[in-house]
Amino acid sequence: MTAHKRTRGALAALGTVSLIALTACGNGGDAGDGGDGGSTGGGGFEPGNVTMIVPFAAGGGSDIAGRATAAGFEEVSDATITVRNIDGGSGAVGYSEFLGEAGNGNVLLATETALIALPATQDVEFTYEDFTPIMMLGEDYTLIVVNADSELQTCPDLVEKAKSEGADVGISGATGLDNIVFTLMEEETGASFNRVPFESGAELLTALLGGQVEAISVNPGEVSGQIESGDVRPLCAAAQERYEYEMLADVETAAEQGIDVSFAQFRGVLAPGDISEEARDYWIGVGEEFVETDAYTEYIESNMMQPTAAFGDDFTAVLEENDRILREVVGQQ
Amino acid sequence: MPAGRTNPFKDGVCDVTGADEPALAEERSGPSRADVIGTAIVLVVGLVVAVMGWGYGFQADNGQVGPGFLPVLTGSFIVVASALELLRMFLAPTAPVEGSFMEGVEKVEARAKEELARAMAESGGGEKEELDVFGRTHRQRGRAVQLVFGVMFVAILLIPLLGLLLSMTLMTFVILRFIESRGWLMSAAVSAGAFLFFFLIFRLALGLPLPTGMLGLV
Amino acid sequence: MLDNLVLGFQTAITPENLLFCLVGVVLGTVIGMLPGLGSATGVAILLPVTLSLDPVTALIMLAGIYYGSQYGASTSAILISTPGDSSSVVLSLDGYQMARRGRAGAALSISAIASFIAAIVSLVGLMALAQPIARWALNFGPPENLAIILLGLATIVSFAGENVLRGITMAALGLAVSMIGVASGFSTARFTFGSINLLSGLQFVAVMLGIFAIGEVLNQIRAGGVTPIRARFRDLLITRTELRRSVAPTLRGTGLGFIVGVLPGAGATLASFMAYGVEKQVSRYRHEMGNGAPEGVASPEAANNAAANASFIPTLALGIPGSGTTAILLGAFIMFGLQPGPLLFAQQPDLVWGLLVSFFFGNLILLLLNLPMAPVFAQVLRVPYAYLYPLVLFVSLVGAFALGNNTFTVWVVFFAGLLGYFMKRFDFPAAPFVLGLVLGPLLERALVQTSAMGHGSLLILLQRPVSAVLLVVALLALSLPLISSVIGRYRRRHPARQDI
Repeated sequence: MTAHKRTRGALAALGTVSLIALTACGNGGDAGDGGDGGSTGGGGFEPGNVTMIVPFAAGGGSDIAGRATAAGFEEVSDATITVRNIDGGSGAVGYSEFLGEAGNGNVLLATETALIALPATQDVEFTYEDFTPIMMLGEDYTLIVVNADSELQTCPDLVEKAKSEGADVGISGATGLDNIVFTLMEEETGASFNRVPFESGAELLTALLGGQVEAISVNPGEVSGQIESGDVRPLCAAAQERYEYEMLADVETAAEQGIDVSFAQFRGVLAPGDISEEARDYWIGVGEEFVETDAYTEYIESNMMQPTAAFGDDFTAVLEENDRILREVVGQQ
Repeated sequence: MPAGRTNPFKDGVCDVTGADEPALAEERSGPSRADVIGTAIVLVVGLVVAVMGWGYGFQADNGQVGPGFLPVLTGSFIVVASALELLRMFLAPTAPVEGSFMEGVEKVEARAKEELARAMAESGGGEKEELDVFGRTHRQRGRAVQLVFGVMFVAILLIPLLGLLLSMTLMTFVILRFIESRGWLMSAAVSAGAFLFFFLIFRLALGLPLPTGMLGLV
Repeated sequence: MLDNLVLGFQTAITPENLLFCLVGVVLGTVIGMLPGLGSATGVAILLPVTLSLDPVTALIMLAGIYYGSQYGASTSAILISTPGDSSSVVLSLDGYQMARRGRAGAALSISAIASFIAAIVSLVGLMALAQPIARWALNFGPPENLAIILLGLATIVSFAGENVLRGITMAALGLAVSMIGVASGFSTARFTFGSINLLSGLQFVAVMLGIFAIGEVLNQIRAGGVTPIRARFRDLLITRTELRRSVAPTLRGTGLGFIVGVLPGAGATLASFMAYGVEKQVSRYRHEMGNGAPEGVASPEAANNAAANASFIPTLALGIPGSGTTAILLGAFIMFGLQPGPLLFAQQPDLVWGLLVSFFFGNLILLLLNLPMAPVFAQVLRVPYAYLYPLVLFVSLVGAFALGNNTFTVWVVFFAGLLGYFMKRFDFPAAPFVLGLVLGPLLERALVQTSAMGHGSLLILLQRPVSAVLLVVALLALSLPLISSVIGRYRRRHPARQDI
């Protein structure tokens, strides 16, 4: 069941007192229009009431990223940023609505791999070139994990099993990052996995813990609790280098085990297409300031991501590279 | 006695469905026209679902359930079930089969009971015989339904112009003043009150971004 | 266990935590009453407000919003046939009929009492057995889910009305409508006719708002409207008989809701439908159901609250959200720097137990608030319908917007209203249609997953013992009422061989 909700990001700073005023339907209302200009960025553009679109339902990774960014951006600028979840169609609805905001510097979108995956696999009207890339927050590699009881020890074990007796792997949908990772593994090794599609990370994890599927591929932030408790065991990381986070430092990369596969999901912020140069520079400035804050570090660390922030054209370059890989993968399916 | 909502024999006029089937109209003792048309529509929908579903792929390449699997099954089921239903409608009242005959009787009985209950409720509730609680005659009621739908339709169309809350307020006012013929003052007061209530809850307390429309007021 | 309880009480009973528990449940009740704003929306909207609070306090308040909205959602379903959330749709059957018969106060009281009992019973289950139950529920994979959903579908017969064949056809139509959008596990867009808005399908809550709220309003106008209820205050109170008749259904609903709620992939909405279906089969008063029987209020309401509480079991015991709302709550854990997972009980005992004990206080507050408020809320029905119905339209359409955050959803509600009007006018039952709509996505997902696990063969359903048993039960549940209705008809035709 989907949930649709929107949030007023500005409230993080509100204290207990105004909360009570608010519950009494009192005057805990909008704290002005935030229209007196940013403390950062070039002149000429002043944000008004800004909306941060999250093209997925509340509670997921994109939602957490969007809310963290909105709160962080608010802190370093004077903008009032409201988060709006517009979910549906694996993100297609939110992106399509965003496409209609062309030229509006007061709308942002919390983006991730769906930006690339959707145009590559579905009939949507947009590509990443229709938007203005502002910043990449960082990259999120995936772990191949199994139930702690599994006899598999490494990723080659999994591949071996797929070849000999077949292996069920859970994926989170046709365009999910995990499907891409498994497809890359298939191409590299010649094995083939039997995919069981699920709707969310939560469902995937339930299926793995219940022994319904052999292995899943997930972002480490989604399973850290279960890895720590010993319910779930990582086989390998589909990453270029080993994680620096203590919990995952021992996890070998797929390449170390002889399967040269790595694919990172990016998370970032987009502005609509055709916005003014000033607006673009303003938001890039805000992003550069956000990366310096503790809030940014905390976000990256609690989700076990790589702090590979990139801005403007550098972010565009990442998108181009991602697009190329993805179209190759999908094209061969 | 006001005509009941479901009496198939007397109230066979369905002014809003539009479709006309003179062939059925003469068959007075047959099934009600609403039942036939309704079931036929359902049958057509089922057919469309099944056919389009087939186009989406009954099975995926690997022999597993495809995106069209359930649509085909559901659509076919609808087609078969509504065909049976139609068949029964035409055969049941005349056919000598005891089971289906009893069913027909049961149906009539049930309708009569409902009719009676309705009539009793109405005579018990309203003081005047002819008019309902809105002060409308039977004929006016059907018109009121169309009017309310019309006002809602226009109000939703106006959202991009006036914004959500203002359109809805206007809708409430128009319904109260012109369809329900309440006084200007009362209509204005109630719609303003509704506006205020929703403004307080949605905008101030919960801070939901509601569309303000081209006017950009609230 | 006892130590933990004491710890929980110590945490929950501080004035601050009690205050925010109260704030949460009151806010939740209000949010629940407004159609379109369900518990998930409520928690998400108010999540940022709580970030400045202590984590325990914040989670107590957010959870309060969750179960508070379960209480509120039934109120509007009963009074004006406008369900506040998907799990209270069933309440607009018998609950609304009770209200129309002047028993609104009683219906609201029954709903509050049933909610309370279900909440407390399931809370005890949650506290005592969270870990083992959560582990047990993991055994339910896609094939078992599929069997349970088929069992849910078998309850259609209970909703079908007089013409069973037509009822089942309407359920199939609901299924068909639920297939609009991108198919689960595929990237094929179905029945969208090029519309981006349809990619994610029609929202269940929007369709049901249209059918139940708007459809009902227009039918009332056409039928001549309803007279305002001029009952004395005393008549609004619940009677002893109503209370007595509600006991067994409440307990049945609680048990069923708890089990369905803890399973992955089901949820409170399915639980409430199934509870109604069961009641319609086993209750002594089953023939009154649909016309305002207390059983039709108590059982689904208990089931939906028990299921809501049960969804905390995988959430707290495994760190895997058991429902849309608990997914957002889990997001809140992360924002507070807490790592949800199987170790949560061990690492954060004060937080977990404080939260659980607060459920007890929260539900107690809700009961104490709702019981005296029931006759007061029932006064709404004294408002002349000519004033009431424009306001119902207002709240439904604004709620529709809040639901999908776009005008498209408002149109969905409008056209669903049109559909609901014609369905009711021409005797095409709406309840099975809605059931099909609820179960459609669940059914399809489980079907696709099962087929993938069986490498294309659905025989896997019979190879796994649990799903095989459930499948047999589903078949029995579907066929028994049919058989008994045939027997009943036979008896009526041969009145000589009379009753047992």
